[in-house]
Amino acid sequence: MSANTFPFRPPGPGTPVSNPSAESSATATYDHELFIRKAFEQDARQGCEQLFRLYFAPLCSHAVRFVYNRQVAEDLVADLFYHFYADRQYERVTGSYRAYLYQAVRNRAFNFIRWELGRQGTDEPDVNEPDQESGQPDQLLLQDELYQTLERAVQELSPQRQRIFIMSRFDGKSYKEIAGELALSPKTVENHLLRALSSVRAALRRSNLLGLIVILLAALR
Amino acid sequence: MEPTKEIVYTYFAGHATSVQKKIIGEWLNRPDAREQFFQWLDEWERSHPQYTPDSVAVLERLRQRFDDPAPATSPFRQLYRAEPSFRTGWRWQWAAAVVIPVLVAAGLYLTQDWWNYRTITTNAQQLRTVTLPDGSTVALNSQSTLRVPRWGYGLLSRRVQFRGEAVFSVRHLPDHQPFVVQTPEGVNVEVLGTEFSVSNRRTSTEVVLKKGKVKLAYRSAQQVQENLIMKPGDWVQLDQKGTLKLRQQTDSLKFAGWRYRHFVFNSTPLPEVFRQMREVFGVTVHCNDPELARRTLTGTIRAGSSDELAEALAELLDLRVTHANQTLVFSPNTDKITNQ
Repeated sequence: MSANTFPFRPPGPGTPVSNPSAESSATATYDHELFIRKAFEQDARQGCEQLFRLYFAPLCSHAVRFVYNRQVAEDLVADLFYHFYADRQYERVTGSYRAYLYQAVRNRAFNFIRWELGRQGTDEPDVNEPDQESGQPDQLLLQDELYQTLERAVQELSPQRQRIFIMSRFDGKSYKEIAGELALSPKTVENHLLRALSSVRAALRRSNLLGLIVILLAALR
Repeated sequence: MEPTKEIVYTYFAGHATSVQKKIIGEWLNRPDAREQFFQWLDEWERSHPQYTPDSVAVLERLRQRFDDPAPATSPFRQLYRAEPSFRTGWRWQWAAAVVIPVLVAAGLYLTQDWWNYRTITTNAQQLRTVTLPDGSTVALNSQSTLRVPRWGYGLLSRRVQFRGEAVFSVRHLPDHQPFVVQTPEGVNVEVLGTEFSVSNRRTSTEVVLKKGKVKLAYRSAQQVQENLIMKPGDWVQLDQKGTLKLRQQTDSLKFAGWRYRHFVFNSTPLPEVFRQMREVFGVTVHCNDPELARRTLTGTIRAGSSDELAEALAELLDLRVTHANQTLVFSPNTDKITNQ
């Protein structure tokens, strides 16, 4: 299905997703919200697809700040859109779709790191539960603090280790591929990765962010 | 106080000062700030993207998922098809280096009986005569078990473990090596060269000495280790408590009467006779003349071993019998046929 068949095609040149600079004005996105809301009234699926075209790229970019893995980020966001449509979550959106989606992606990304770094138990996080809108300002600040702490921890890694960390996590390359590109042994690559992960973990433990957010989430329930 | 868009952008980038963060925190407490926050976050994310994903391909997959809501694979599961770690790989090898020898040792330990002992067992019908490596023979009554060590038998000592009923005919070795029968109750019958019977059934152990001399080591009722030297014709019974009864058994005919079995045949075809032989004495019987299979036998034969029975059969039916190991071969007596 091509974009031209959409009954309410978003204004602006090109598709908004492939050309993010076109979305830089606040009024443009606000107008999009109106168009998409109308699209949802007519056909929820069309609305959902429009929403996807508009927000998938920036949401992925935002999720990567938390999970440092493009595959995870894209899967998290795609999964969010799937449940947004399949579980008719769009009916429960009170504010803007934008705020809802960003909040949900943050919650999912946060749950993912908690699951990954904690690995407590084998239970996977319940990904659908956190999609509810929780307008707690403290939580927003803590989530910002979390991705900023993560980024600082990654920046503090030695250049080589940082490079290996990003190649492995963000690009999803295997030890062998990285070892081949950097002319290292796969075992060295693995050592770098394990140390990088433990540095990040230690940084999070120092700031105690995960713990704080866990407590906060528990208190909100 | 409301932060400017520039300050919030600085904050998103992680460069905000503590004062700016405090202002943003206070601002977010206002109900209308949330929408503004996410709008600026969206704009900031669009102008400072981490990367540009391939949204067309993902949308295509999402559409397929909309159309066919198959059991969704969790993103966590697909992503964490963890790469084989070299470290854990080594860990596996270490684990294997530890676990495999332990398993082998456990296996050897559990099967040590098989490795260490040759076990001869008779069922309810069978009688068996076993020849030990030193030439001693053991005639086992039915439902008996004899365990002969596979290693070291006759090297320093001749020890066998035994439960049931049997007659031991022990050869005297030039180096006077003792022969010891051990019962599960800890009664040891030690001999140099002699013939005696041991019966070790559920309630008691009986030892009858036919000739020679044996030493009986047992634990008395007071739990004291005792020794008893038996003379020929002595009959000793030991119960489970360790109480000992000694009697002179004069009737030597009664000695291990169970060793003889009465075979009663009444127009019994020879294959059936051979089957009973196999059944009772555990020998393999071959008959290399089909003519013989049609013959029948009538009579009562008392036999204490397969050889005794075979000789009796050979005599009765005018056959020739040869035996090697545990195999008996019957064939027509050709000499006599030519003489007739």
